[in-house]
Amino acid sequence: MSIQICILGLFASNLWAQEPTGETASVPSPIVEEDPILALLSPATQDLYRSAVAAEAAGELRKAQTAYGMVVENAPGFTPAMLGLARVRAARGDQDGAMRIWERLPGEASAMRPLALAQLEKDPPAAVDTFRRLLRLQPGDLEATLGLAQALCAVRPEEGLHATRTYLAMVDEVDGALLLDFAENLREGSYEEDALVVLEEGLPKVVDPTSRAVVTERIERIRIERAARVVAAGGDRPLSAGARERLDEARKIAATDPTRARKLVEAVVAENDRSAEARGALGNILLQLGEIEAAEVAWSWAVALDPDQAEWRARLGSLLANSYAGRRNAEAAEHLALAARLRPGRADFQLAYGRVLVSMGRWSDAQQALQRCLEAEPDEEIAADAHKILEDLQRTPPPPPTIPSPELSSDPEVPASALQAARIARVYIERGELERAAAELVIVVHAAPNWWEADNLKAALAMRQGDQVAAEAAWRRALLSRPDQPWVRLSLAELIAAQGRRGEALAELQRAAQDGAVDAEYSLARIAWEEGRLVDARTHLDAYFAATPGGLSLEPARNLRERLEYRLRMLSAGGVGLVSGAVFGLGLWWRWRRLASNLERVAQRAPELTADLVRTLGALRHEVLKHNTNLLDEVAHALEHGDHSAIRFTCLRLFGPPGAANEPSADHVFARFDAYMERLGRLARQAGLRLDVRRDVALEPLVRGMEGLRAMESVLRRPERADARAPDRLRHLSELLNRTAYKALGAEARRLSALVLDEELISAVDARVRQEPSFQGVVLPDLELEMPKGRVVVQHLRGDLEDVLANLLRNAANALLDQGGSRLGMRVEEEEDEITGMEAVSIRVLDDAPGRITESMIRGREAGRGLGLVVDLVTRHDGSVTVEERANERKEGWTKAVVVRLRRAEEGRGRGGE
Amino acid sequence: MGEERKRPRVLVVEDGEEYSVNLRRFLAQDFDFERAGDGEVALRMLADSVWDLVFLDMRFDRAPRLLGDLAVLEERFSGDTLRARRFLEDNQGTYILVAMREAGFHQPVVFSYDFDSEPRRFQNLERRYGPLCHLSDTAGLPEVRRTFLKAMSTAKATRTSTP
Repeated sequence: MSIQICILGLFASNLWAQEPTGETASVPSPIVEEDPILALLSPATQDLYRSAVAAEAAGELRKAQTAYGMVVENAPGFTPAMLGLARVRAARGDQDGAMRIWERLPGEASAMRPLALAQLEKDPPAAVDTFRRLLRLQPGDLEATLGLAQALCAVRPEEGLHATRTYLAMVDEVDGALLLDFAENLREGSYEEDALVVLEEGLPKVVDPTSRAVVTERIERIRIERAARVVAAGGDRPLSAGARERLDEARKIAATDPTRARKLVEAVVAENDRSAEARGALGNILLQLGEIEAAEVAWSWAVALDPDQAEWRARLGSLLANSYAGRRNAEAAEHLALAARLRPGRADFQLAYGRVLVSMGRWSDAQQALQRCLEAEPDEEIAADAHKILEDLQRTPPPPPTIPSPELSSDPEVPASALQAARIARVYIERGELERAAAELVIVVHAAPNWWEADNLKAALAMRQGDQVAAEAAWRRALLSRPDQPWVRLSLAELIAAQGRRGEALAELQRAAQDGAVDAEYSLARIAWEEGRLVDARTHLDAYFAATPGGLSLEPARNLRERLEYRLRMLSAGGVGLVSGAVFGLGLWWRWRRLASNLERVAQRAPELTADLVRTLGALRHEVLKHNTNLLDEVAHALEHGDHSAIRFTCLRLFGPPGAANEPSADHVFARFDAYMERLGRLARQAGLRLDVRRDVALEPLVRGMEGLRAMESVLRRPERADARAPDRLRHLSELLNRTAYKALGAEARRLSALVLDEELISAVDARVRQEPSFQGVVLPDLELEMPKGRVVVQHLRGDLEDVLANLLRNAANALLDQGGSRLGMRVEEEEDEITGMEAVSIRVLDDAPGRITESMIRGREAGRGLGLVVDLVTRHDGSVTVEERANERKEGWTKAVVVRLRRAEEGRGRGGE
Repeated sequence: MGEERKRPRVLVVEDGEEYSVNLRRFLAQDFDFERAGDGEVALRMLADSVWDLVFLDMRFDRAPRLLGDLAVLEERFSGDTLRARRFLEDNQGTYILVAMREAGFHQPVVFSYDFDSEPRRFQNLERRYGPLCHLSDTAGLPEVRRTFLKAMSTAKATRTSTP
């Protein structure tokens, strides 16, 4: 019986699927219809059911609940009765009771709908599931779609936007309050962008004007709050002293080693992520490295953390103005305006702001900004720029030029028709409409066959058509007819020079220069420079700059002059006189040869550069070789086996993407190699020397190997074209770079910084101190020296170590003289660091003077008393300085010691022998 | 149809990704590689899983977190935080090695560091914290493969022969 009723119940559910109506409060009662299925119940139950329905319709809810309950008891599977019971319970406020009944009808849409609506309030996660089940039963159900969207916005905001959009797509109108409700839930779930999308997309469907206004206001508010959120009020945290020190160091090395500087600053930022200063400094270095987007992020952080700091804001504004071709001028102007308001005295901010405003066409605002710039007492350069822009802004545009009539032509023999056709042809050439230009040119030639301007036009047309032969012929004819055309001659000369006919080009250029084409002087200078005629180059450049304050060649001419002056300075350094042509040339050559040096000589000439030399050698080993060139054997193998993906992988690392070779910000291996070699060259120049990498034992294998590798770029880019010998060449280069060059660089670095610490060195320093004027006529005790057996080699520079020892001995001697005491000692010992395994050499300088020595004397302000230099020189080589009270060694008689610990240099297998 | 050979698992500890990218690219058929970006992560990964070998870089100048007592080093470098940190960065590999051993992880460690020029230093470390091997930075991949296998087999032999 129960099974039968259950089946009946399933059928019956369809009968009750339609929308119920009635008087009950929250859940409408069904339309009461007699149905043949009802007849399958027992007569008594049928009566009960009818009375329940009647009571519900009459609003007699309690009676209806009792009757429905009895029906359910008699026929537990009769769905209409269960639905009725749930409905009445809900109407009587027993929501939980109703929900329990609905939950027992999981396949029944009429139960799921009220259940889901009830869950929406009490248990939104459950509502999501119920609405989804309902939608599976009744796809496209608007109420369920809406309910699902509401539930998801509340509990799974990550899915809320999609569900809400689905709902919005189904309706033509939407209630403003509902929209706001969606948005609020999404915002509470931290999906503010989605909330904004919902409001913006829903707004057109809000019909009621009042609601529209409210929604519009909310959209605006969210936008403002979003903008405000990047202002991290009170967010800036000051830097610790250590962090600031690192930041300062990074700033110092930024110009010479931006990559290292970047690492330093990034480390500071990692530790001080709420420091505007650190973020701002990072932005500076990133911009220097050409990483525009990253610099923008860094400065945006800095601005957010410290909105009142005008510097970062101004830099951010300038970056936006200068790096996006005007597309972000509005943002740039906002930042620059604020920066200028925060620091009205900064003329450069006002100037930058003025420039952006000019770009935006806001002439009047720009004028005001530039006036403020000038009021801020700018330096000469800024003032000149501001004046120039102001002048441009204040200049009244002249009326359009009057086109000269044919009668005004300087050549009365040229017919008017030719003049007119020539003008039209010129316009067509400028517009690139070459066929039409050619047609007009036919008219010109026909009307004035011997007119020089016709030939000029022919040349111009030929050049646009890429026909250099025709262009040259036409220009020559034009010059034959009228030789005093210096600019035409210059064009001809440049065309000839580009074809490699330098002799002819020089003659034409000289003639053009004589006739007044100033840029010809620059061209002459460039050719002289390329041919190594430096004095000639300078003469032509002087003539160029004397003749013109501007022109298209100005910028390249300036660059050329800088390079030229530098070269000349290098050549003339050391007193080689620039007396006369022949002597000069010979002298330069000798000088050039003499200056050619290796790293060793650079270090000898300028010991203060040794640390930089060593560091750069280390960088070459680790950032150029190391992870990169050790792939070459694999590449050779890959070439032999046709594994082109492996080759491409390596190629990308070595050379960067195609065309990256000349990118200034490129970070591929060859870009690094070039940069480090340039740095070595620069260090040598600082020492007044020219580094000849091919004469340097340490660098030569590296340079040779890298050149060989560079020559294989085209093979590696197109491995399918590689010949059979390519793998062997790669293996050879691998050996050269990974063994010979790597070890040579390491050996050189160690050699440059290794020093034998022996009795002879210490005695020499001791003698030097005793000879100082302050110790003349004074009897100092002999130095009691204790040395370990065997050779002691430290990583330190000789001059630095001598200064360290001299200072310590001097201090100890002074203590003896000032405080009394009779013994002076030095003890050298070897130690081992348990963690790093590194061995150190400790040098204790001892005395028995009664005065005390404290740690404070080797740090902070106290360090200035003679020990500051020691600390500096020692720590520069990763050594350390400590002090010891020697109370426990009274038996030895020492009262104190200053202890210098230096890294013990391991004597490897020697230079080139590793 | 034999059972697929289980590849040895190598934990690559480095602050960048150069080693792990290269090793995965070229030696993936012989070993399974996972990367730990700093010492803390390495110790966690060692505790969470079974590893046959640790490949350890020496210099960690890109890792935000470093093992080691910065205060002690500041003391050693006369209060110079910058130098102390740099020392920690330059020798971080050994700090990680010591922390590993102290935590009871005794897998063979292959250092990527050119100890050829500092043989005494390597002997000191090996004596205290072995089993230890080292590879020069420019070692070719065949050499890397050989060294890994050798380090593992030596360690295994040592374990087997230890009563």
